[in-house]
Amino acid sequence: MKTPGRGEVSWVQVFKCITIGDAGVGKSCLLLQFTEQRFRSELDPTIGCDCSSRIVDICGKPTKLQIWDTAGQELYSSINKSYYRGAEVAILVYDITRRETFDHVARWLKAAMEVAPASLTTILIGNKCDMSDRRTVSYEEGESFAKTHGLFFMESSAKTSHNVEEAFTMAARTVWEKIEHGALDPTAKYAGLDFVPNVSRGGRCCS
Amino acid sequence: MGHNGIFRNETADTYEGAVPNWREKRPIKSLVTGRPILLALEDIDGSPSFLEKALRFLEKHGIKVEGILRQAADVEEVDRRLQEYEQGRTEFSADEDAHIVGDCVKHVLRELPSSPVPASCCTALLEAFRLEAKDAKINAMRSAISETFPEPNRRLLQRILKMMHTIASHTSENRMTASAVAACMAPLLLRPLLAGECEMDEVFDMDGDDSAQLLAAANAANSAQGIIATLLEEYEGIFHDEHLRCSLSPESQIEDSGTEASTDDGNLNAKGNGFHDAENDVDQEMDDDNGAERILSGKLSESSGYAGSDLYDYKAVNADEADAERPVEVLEGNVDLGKVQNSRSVENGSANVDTLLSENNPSNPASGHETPLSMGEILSSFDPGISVPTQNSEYSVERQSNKINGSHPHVKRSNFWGRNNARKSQHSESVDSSGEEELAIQRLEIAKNDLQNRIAKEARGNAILQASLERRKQALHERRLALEQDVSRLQEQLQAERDLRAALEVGLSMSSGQFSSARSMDVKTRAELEEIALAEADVARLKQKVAELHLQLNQQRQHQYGSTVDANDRHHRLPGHFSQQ
Repeated sequence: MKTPGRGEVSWVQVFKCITIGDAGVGKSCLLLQFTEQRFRSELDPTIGCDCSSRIVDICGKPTKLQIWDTAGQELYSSINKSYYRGAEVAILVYDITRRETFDHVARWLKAAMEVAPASLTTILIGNKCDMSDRRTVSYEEGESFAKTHGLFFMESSAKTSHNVEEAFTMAARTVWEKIEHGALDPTAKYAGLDFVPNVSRGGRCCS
Repeated sequence: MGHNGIFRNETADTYEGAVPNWREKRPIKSLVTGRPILLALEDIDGSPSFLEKALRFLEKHGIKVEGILRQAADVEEVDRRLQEYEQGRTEFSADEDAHIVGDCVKHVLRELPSSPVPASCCTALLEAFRLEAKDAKINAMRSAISETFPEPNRRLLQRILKMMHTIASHTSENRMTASAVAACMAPLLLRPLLAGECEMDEVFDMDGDDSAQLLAAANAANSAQGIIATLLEEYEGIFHDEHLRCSLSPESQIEDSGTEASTDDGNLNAKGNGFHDAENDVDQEMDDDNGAERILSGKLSESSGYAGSDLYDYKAVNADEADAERPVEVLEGNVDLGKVQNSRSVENGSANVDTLLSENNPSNPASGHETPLSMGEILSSFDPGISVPTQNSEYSVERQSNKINGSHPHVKRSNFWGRNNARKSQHSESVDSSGEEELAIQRLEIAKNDLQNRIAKEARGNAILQASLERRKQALHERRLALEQDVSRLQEQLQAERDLRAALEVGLSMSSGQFSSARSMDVKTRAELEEIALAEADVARLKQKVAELHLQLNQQRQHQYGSTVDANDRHHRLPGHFSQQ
């Protein structure tokens, strides 16, 4: 396999991944479950945005998923534009027990489409499926919405970790596929953050 | 369209002329969103605004709801609730969804025309927040609030914080900690900080790298949350000075429904007390010639200080001149003017007001205004038009707080106000520059309201005109119908005539002999018919002749082109023919 990293062993492909969705749907919890395999039940809203990452192995390629987790409160804030820019993956989350969070999915998607690159891979996630006795959004509804908008769809539970790993790895795999099909050029648009501080600082000095 | 435009302008003009007092009417625009900060908590008449009601609802019913202020409600339901409010559902019932009300509050804050905390105040808070030592930090934040905040903004912020405080004090039920509540509300309260408008150590580089920008934004969000969380945690300490003043303000007065009854009693008693004291004071001061004027000028500064335009200038001027005791006198004068209407000395006082006012505004028909409200109205004429609504509302606030003011022992009160005013003067000087922009914004907001008012008026005028146009159209339509009827009637008549004529012509075509045997014709008609028949026969014959002659003439013209004489002869002969017959 061709590795664009000039043979450096430590080099990994970095995908920028963002989580979006209403406040309190479990974006941060999904992330926490994915990166640290734990669940936290306090209502602790994300401030501004958090960032964490995990390296996953996709078909033998080490892939760093760098996940930016934004506050759901921030739908109206200016933070969003820079947040969406350069993202390869968007994890769009709603809460299956709260209908309104699903109703707002279209808005979030629209916001993402306006700023994010066209090659954005979006995964729609119906979270909290461990509470399906309180479900107000059916699986089929989520699935058909995803289908009409060309999204991947999964129901997951950050609490039981059901489908969490799968969602993120599926996203990473899809991005790899896009790269291999030439639909996405990882070097053109977004260099891995690992290199960004040096590169950008150097660049600024010269210019 | 062009015509419409002209049309509208005209109606607006006439309308304005016809209803000169339109400004006194309530704005027809939204009662909920987009209101200036000055009117965020109270309506023009001093009654609680949508926001204030919603905050009270949250404090009462929202505290037990899990994830209150955090969980999003359906955007459409929030919109619907806002609309319903505008359509008259102005009270929140206990069974409403607290999340919707919570989001209504957020929506209103988000839609405020300017940030609840202006940029300069954000910067001041941010600087204070960066201090390491906790005590120093809290002190700095306290002075940032008392020195840089315009009064309406401080009141709004404090009111919101109070609600947040109440919610955070029920963490066990709603699972919202102070930090969580702060995280949810900070972006709305410290708008400029989040938007990167505040001076930061690390400058927002909008063209810079996305990640760096994002980090800076996240950093700002963190600071904002930290500031609000600190304000919330140290609410008592930071607002201690304002606390007295705050508890006097109307919004917090109604807050605790449980203790309301007892406080009311206290107020009543104390009111009498304060009233008495004040009366004495005024009586004493009225002996002094300047007394009344001093009171009144004090009053001027107090109420017109909120007029929006010269807010802090007025205060600063007044405070500079003021000696230590004066603010106290001034405020008590206020109470008195409102209440001791029958007192002789106060009558003098209002006479003085009139002269004072008419000096300033000769066109103002001020005469014997005794109630504080009408005073407010007079004062409002200083800033023609624009500040009318704010004036009244602010005035009523002032009035209410004065009332409650009575509940404190007299001596303590004078201390309190004295200190307060001294601080205010300091505060006003510093705000003068930094609050200028905010003031300008407020003025613009008021002007905007004004314009919206006008537009509404215009629209109403247009509606009326449209109605009259409609009526006219209707009238025209009716007339048209009537005319059409006439026409058809006439057509019938014509038809009848024609029928008659046809009958007559039939008669004509018959011989005169046949006529005699004709069925239903009377003698006269028959005679006429015969006559006509003869005449017609003659005419027909003549016509034939003429035609023949014309034919001949033409032939001659064609054939004997040269000899016109002959033709002339024939022409001359023509009349001869006619005369013969």
